[in-house]
Amino acid sequence: MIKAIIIDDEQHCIDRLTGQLKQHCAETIQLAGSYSTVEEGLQAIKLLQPQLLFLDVQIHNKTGFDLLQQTREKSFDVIFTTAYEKYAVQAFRFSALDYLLKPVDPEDLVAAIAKLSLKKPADELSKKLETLLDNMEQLKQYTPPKKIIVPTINGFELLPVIDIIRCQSDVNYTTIFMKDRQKLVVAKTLKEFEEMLGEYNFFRVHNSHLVNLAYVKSYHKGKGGSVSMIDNSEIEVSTRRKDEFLKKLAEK
Amino acid sequence: MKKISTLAACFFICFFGIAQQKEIDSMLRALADYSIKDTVRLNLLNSLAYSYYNVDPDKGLLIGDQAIALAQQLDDRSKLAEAYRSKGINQWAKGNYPGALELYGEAIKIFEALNHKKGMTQTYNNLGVVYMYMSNYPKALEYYLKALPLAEELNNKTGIANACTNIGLVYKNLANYPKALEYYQKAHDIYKLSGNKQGLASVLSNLGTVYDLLKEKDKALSYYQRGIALNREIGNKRGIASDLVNTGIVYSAMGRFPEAYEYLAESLNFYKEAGDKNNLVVVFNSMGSILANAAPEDLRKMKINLTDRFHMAIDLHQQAIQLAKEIGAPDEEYQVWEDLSITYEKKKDFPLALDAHKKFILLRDSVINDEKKAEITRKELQFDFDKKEAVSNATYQAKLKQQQTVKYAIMGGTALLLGGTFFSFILYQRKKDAVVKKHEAELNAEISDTEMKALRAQMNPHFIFNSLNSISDYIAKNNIRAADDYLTKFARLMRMILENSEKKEIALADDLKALELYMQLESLRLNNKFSYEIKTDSAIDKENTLVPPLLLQPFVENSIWHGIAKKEGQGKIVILISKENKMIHCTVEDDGVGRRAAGEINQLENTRKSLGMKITKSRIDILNRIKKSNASVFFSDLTHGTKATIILPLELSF
Repeated sequence: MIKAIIIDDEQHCIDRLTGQLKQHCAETIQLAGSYSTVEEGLQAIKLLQPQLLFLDVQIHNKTGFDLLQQTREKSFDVIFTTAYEKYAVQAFRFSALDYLLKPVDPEDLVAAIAKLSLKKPADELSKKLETLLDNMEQLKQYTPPKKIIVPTINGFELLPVIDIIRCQSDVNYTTIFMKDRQKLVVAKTLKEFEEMLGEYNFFRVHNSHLVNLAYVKSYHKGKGGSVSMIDNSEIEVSTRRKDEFLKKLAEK
Repeated sequence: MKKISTLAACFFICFFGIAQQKEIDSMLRALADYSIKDTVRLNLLNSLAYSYYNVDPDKGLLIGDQAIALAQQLDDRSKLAEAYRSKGINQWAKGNYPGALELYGEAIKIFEALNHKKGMTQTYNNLGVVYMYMSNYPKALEYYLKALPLAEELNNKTGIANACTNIGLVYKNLANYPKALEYYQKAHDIYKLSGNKQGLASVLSNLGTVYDLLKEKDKALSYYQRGIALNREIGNKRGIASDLVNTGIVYSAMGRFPEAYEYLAESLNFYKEAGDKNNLVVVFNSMGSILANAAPEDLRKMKINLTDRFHMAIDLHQQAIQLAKEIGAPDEEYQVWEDLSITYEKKKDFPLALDAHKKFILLRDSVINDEKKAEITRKELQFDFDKKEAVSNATYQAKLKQQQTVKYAIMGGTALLLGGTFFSFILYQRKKDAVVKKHEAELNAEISDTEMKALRAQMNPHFIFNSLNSISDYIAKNNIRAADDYLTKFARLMRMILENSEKKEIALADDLKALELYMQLESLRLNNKFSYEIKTDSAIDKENTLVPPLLLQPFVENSIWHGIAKKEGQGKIVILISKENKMIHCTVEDDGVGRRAAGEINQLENTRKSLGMKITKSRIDILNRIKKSNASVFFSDLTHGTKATIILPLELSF
C-alpha cells in the first residue's frame, strides 16, 4: 500500500479524486488525508510522512512548487494535477514528472499509479524536482529550459539543453548527440522531443532529425539541401522543411 | 430647411450624460492618485470611459478595455456589464455600430442574467440609439419599448422621459406623427413635473417640429415660443438658435415675412458666434428668399429699401453658397442654387435665373447619385456584417442569397434613378462593378483566415450542449459511473479540439484520435447504437500526413444523426483513408436509412442537416483558394446508407 495525500484548493477536485482512488486504486493507495492550503499540506507532510502527493499546481495565490521548495526531506513521489496550465505541463515533461489533467481520466490515474510501484533510486525525485523548479522560472518567461530529464535503461539522465547538438529518431527510440561527443539512446519518440524543444531554438529539419539551431555550422544547397553541425555530422534537410528552416535560420 | 429640425433631434438622442472636459480631467487626476486595483478604481474607469464618448472616443475605447480587464479580474459581473456598455458607447460615437451592438449585447446578457434593472434600462436605450442611427427603426423601437416599462418599474423619471423622447423620435422618422406626439407629450409632462428644464426645452422643440410637419402652424409656433423662453432661462444657446430658426421658417411658410426675417436675423448672431456654418447656410438662404418674395409693405416694416431688396437677397444667397462650398455640403448648396434662381426670376434677370437653375439641376443630380452610392455602401457594410454574423448563426447561404438579392435590387433601383443619363449610367455601373469586385477580393482575403477559425469554432455548440445534456441526464437517472465516464471523455475531446484548432493543419494521426473520441461519445449517447471502424491504407504515414483539423467530423455527425439514429437496430460507421495519385481520399460510410429516407423523414430539419456540410464546403473552397488545390466533397447513395467522399491534396510535413 502506498500512503498518499491530496493537496488541492478546490473541494470538488479533492472529492472527485478521492472517489476515483477508492473505486480504481483501493488496493494500492491508502489515502491518509486531503488539504486545501500550502501550509496545511506542509504540516501533513511532516506529520504523516506520505509516500505520494497528489499536488495541485495553483493553490489559492500560491503554487504546488512553493510547497515543494519548502519541504526539506523529499522522500515522496509527486503526481501533479492541473486543469490547464500550459507552461506547467511543459515543465513536467522536461522533468519527466507525472501529471494528471482534470477532470482526471481513470485510465490515466491507474497508469500513473502503476508507474510508481517500480523501484527507483532514492535521489530521483529530488533531482527531478530541482530541475523542475529550475526550469519553471525560465519557462514562464519563454526562455529555454536549462535541463531536461530523460529516462534511460538504468534510471534517468539530466541533460543540459545547451549541450544538445541534435536528436535522431530510430523508430520508437531517439538518439541524442551531446556536445561532449557522448551519445544517449532514449525510449521516447522524436516527436516527443520536438514537442518539448521545438519552441526553444530546435528545428525538425527531417522526419528523423531534430537539430539545435545554435550548432548549425553551414548549410549546403540542394533539393532540400543539408546542414553540417559543429560535430561535423551531415544532416539531410527535407524538401518540405527547407523554406521554413531557412527562415528560422535567418531569424536567429 | 429641414436641417434645423434634425439638429434639434440629434441633440436629443445624445442627451444623456453630456460630460465636460473638466469632469474628465478631475477623473483622470483621481485615477492617477488611485492605483489600487479594486472596485473604486473600476468605478472611476467606467465613468471615465463613458464620459469620453463625446470628447475623445478613441481614448474612451482604451479606458473601456482597461475597465473590462479589471472587472474580469475582480470577477464583478455588474461592473463588467457596465464596462462593456461604456466601451460600447464609444464605438457608437466612432460610428462603429456593429461593434457597439456587440458590446451592448455582452452588457445586456449580464444585466439580464443579474436582473439588474437599471443597467437593463440604460443598455436598452443605448441599443435603441444605435439602431436608430442605423436607420433600423423597428429594432430601435423594440428596444426603447423594452426600456420604458423597466424605467417605469424603477420609477426612474429621467429614464422614462428619455425613453419617451426617443420613441417619439422614432415615430417622427417613421412619419407616424400622432404616435410621436403622444410620446413627446408624455416626456413633456414628466420633465415638467420633475423640473428637468433642459429636457423640457428639447421636447418643446421636438413637439414644435412635429406640429410643423402636421401643418399645424399655430401650435408649432407656440411650442417654439415656449422652447425659446425656456432655453433663454437655462442659457442653452444652441437651443435658442434652433428654435428661432424653426420659428422663422414657419412664419416664412405662412407668408409672414417680417416676423420670419426678424427671427432668422436674431439666430444669425448665435450661429456666427458659434461658427456653425452648417446652419448659417440655411439662415442666409432663407433670409435671401424672404427679401426676394416679400411684398413692398412688408419690406417697409423690415426697414429695407425696395431698390435694395434684390442685391441684398442675391448677396445672402451667395454667402450661403460660399459657406456651403467651404464646408463641402453640396446637398445644401443645390437648395440654395434653386432659391437663387427663383430670386433672379423675380428680378426678371432670366439669363442668370437659367444659369442658377442649371447649376441646381447639375448639383442635385450628382448629390442624389452620391446619396445612392452612400446607400449602396451602407447596404454593403450591412451585408458584410450580416455575412460574418451568419457564419456563426447557421444561416450562411440563405442570408447570402437574400442579401445579394437586396444588393442587386438596390443596384437596379439605382439604375432606374440614373435613367436619363444613360451613358453615365453605363460608366458608373462598370466602375461600380469594379469597385465591388475589388472590395470583395480584399474582403475575402481578410476573411479567409478568420473564417477558418470561425468555422472550426462551429464544432459545435450543438454537440457541446447536447453532451452536457447527456451528462445531466445520466445524473438525473443516477447513473453516476456513466456520467463520470462521459464527462471525462468529453473533457479530453474538448482539450484536443482546443489544441488542434489553433493549428491550420495537424497530423492525420491526431485528427483521427479526436474523431474516434467523438464517435465514442456519440455512441455512448445513443446507448451503443453503432460501432465504428477506422481503416488507414498502409501506404499512408499517419504521423507525417497533414490535414485540416476536424474536417471529417461533420460527415461523421451527419452519418450518426441522419443515417443511423433514424434506423432501427444497430448501425456501423466505416472511415477509410487511402491515397491515390497525390490526393488523400477519405470516405465516411454508414449503413443508416440513406439520404432519401432521411430527407423524407426530416424535411423540417433539412436546414440544420446541411449546415455542417456547408461549413465544410466553405472550408474546402478556402483551402482550394489558398493552396490552389482541387479538393472536393461528394456524396453517393449505397443500397443501405450513404457514403461521403472527401478528397484532399496530400500534404506531408517532411
